Amino acid sequence: MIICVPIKRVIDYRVSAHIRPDADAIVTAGVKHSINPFDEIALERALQERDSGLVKKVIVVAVGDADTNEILRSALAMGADEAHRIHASKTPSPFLTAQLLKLWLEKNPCDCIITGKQAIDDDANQLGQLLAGFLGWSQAMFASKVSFKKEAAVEVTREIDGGLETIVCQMPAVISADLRLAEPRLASLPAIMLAKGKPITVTDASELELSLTEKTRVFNYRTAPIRQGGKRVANLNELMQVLNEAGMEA
Amino acid sequence: MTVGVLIEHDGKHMKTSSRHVITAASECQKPIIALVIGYQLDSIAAEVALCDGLDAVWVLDHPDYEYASAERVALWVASLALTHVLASANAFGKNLIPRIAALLNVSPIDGVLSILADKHYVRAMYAGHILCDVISDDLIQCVTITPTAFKSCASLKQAVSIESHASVDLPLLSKRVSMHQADSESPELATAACVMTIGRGVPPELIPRIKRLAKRYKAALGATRAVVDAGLLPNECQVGQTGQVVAPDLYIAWGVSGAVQHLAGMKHSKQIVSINKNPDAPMNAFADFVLEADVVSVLSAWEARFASLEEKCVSQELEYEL
Repeated sequence: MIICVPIKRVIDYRVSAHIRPDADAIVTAGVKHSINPFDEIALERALQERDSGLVKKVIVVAVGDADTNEILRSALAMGADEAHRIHASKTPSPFLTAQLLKLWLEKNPCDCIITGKQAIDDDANQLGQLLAGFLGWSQAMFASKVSFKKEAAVEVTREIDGGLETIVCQMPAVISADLRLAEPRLASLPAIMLAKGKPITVTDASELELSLTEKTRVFNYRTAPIRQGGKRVANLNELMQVLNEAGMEA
Repeated sequence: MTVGVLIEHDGKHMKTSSRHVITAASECQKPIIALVIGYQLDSIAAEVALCDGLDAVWVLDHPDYEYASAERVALWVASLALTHVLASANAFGKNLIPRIAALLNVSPIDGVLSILADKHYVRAMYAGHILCDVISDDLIQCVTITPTAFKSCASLKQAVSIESHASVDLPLLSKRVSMHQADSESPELATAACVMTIGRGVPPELIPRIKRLAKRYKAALGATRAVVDAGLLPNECQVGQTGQVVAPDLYIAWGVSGAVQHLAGMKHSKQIVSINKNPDAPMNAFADFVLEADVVSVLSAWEARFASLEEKCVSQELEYEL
């Protein structure tokens, strides 16, 4: 069995994002980037399965320009068997990414896809579902537990609004990783050094014969209004007054 | 033009979040059709049919849909002649809308905060720090709506018509084996009027006491990621960028430090109260009202107020009897 893990290069979660003066984009040049944390969780879960022997190979794939190689190398250092990049001059929307991946997967087949439930830049939470729809595969989103069964099926516990739900999906399946699916390993220094020399296969988006025209236009980026708070109340009595004025009653 | 709203329900009642989506739909186009999917839906469909703003209810009621898998639901919804498909931006809607969009070959839009014009939306990114406009060129709009950004629709006396639809054929790709649902007595976290949230500053042994207090006020219980990760409260309580987004009238944070990822999930609350002894906690700069005190002492004093209140009631009753 082969697991494919699509990963995305995003601004590192410790860095705050800034808007370009023309308000048409986020400043990315010279900003520290890393693997989207949810994709890292997905990769860890796939690697665990490979290490336990059920999965033959874990391949990672990312869409983007040459800078994207750095996250593919991080994934190789964590233990991914193969790294692939679909070349695009800028990171496309989840919709285009899913279309590109679908076409790419026709030439690079796999049995299961595990990816992060959302990217921490656009917070879209769409790629896994889109990909499952394009491929016509079963889907198990927001997974907190995954166990592969012998009979071409996978049991997934999903984090849903009111609790948890466990479903069994026929393979091939698309799974999206929630926070608690796995704890990503740290790559060792020798593994990081070794990963620098490993090959990254590059496919140009044009080879996939897809027009890279977006169907949505995103603009007028602005900082969300910041709340002005911090008014101190002296004691519980004063707090109770506030609560009463807010209409809160036991 | 036909707007479809996917209705979320628990097998007994429609979820309040869907009422907010119906309000958002009324800012799109007319007519608005509620789509209800499941098994044995008569009472839910009747409840939905009273929602203000709707023109009809379409029901797919079939034993195969008792577990309404994303694969089957998407196939049915994509087969309908709709120009807009809306659902709430929670686990329910986020699971379905992008798959429906893929089948219709359109680019979905997630977490809409306001609708400026047809196909023109505002949404948030980067954990709610940044807002942006999105204009879609697609003929069909597949959108998830942030429920708290729109009002809940009212119920009318007059019901709209309910139409039955036949199920679509699709081999079984997934099935549900078990389900763990939170206490159905407490209000839905995403749409509760009051939320009490427990952060890492609350000693674990106090959690049951805050739960009791929350119950008293009919408040939903929230938690920070650290508290859920520590296994102290279940995942469905998590408020934040990757958990639930809430915007209650009153948000009471008990010992919550206020990491940006947490603030992203509650910043639109009408009033925020922070109870935290740490003067430097970001939440204490963010909340409207701050009680800079130890959680234990505040909780004890709060409970004591109830105790004395109850005593008073009892003694009044006694006097009356005498």
